[in-house]
Amino acid sequence: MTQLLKIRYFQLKRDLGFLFFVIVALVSCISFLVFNHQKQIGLYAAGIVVYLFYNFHKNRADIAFISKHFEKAKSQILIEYQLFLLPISILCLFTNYWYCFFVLHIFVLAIPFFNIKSKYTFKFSFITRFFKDDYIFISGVRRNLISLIILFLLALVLSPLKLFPLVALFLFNNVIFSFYEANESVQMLQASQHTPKKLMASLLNSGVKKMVIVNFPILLINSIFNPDLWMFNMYFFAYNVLILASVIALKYESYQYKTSSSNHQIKLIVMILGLFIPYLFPLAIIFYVQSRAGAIKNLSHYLDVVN
Amino acid sequence: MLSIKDLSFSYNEEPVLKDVNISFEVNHIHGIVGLNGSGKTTFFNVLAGFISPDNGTILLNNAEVLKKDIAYIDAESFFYPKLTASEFLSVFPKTNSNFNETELAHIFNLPLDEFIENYSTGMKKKLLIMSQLKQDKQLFIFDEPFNGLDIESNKSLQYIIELLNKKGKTIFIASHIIEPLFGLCHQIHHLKNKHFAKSYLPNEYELLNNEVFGEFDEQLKNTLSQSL
Repeated sequence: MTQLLKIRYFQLKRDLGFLFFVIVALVSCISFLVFNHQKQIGLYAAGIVVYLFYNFHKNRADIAFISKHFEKAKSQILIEYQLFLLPISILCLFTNYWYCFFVLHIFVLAIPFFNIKSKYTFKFSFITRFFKDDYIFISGVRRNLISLIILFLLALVLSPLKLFPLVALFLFNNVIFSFYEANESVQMLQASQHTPKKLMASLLNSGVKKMVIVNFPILLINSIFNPDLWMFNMYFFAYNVLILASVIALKYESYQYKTSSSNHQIKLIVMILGLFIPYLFPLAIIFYVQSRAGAIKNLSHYLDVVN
Repeated sequence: MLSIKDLSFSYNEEPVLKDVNISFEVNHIHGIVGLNGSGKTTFFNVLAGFISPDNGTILLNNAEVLKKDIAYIDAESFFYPKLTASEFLSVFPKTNSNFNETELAHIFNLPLDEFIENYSTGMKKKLLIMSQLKQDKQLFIFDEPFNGLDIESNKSLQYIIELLNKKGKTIFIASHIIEPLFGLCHQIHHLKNKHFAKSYLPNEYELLNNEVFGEFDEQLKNTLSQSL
């Protein structure tokens, strides 16, 4: 019954060590600040947390393995989620949103049972025409088309309001970031015929262009209706670009040609937290610079360094 | 000539390849045989540049081997499930002007409009082979190419390998299914005890069969007769 927790323990020990406790403390503090916020954003924060857990569950690649090889697999996943939720939920018991503790735990408890799989997969050939050879986006958009449309429309409709469109936009961008979780085969990687540096630049360039197309109209409308927020909107966009760049760098830093999914969830969570706590911004920059250097070094095993 | 000098590679301080010294004729088909764990895949990974050796050099006609010149067809590859086969192939640049996608897909019996998630293991392997044939590569590395293929595809692949060789490509094949190697290879090299123990020419293949697998067969029979 504890196999999954043991694996998580070894992963956290290997990847974070003592930093894990620092992050847990930070997460708890932020959670307290958010749920205790005067502007009553507790329910939205709870919604985002549940969504992030759902998104993680939907995209995790080890479900089949766990179900096949672990005893009482679903219970193990339930326990894992409940434990990882505790740093976020526990301090909200001491705020006006104390009931969010139960809301969070009940909703997250339901996630492993919530399994919507469409019987039909549509090709939507316009996706291929629009993204040309960008296999990461073709595959990702096809997998998440409905979520992306809903989140984009939500952000667009809410764009004159404060905060709400940014939440929807952040979730939209989060879906885009999840596209980079799968490792393409080495043959696909080599098909680009880029050097490691060029590949990184080209992927970032292509990703940023798509983010501009989606984020910019919403942020522009939001800034027109809320002129006091234009600086924050700029920061929001720049930080999302930083997360995108880091997601790409983290993926290729740990890329191995026979491993189908990259393992960078923990660093990514720290990066995402930086959006809400500006103090983490320098840490996010450090993570990016480190990961980019690591990615270029790692990619030199798979790509020619000179053309 | 593809020359390998003093090549060594260790994994977690455990030597997998040690002092490998061998020269391979270019434009030939080379079979690599050895028992499980003998280092065939590691050798291919070093050859393809995916892992750096601890020591040694690999030179193709006295120059470093470029990754863009190598086609690597491995036993298992990741495919984005929500791409169609045709979208997958479109990712690869067509540098082989003779490559005819439709014809080859017909020969391999691959529906190009289908999502890859609906493909079997054998179909995925054939699709990967097609992606590499689309490009004009100099060196082809096939790691267990015959596994998971039906008889027709197996034959087609053997013809393709012969054809590639006629076009001047150098080919390496590691396979547990040894029979196709006898008909295809100009030389078969036996990887044993972390290096190439011996190379065999076509007229020595029977000897190879006895030396490599005869010894193993005897050991296996003895072990099994004592265990069952």
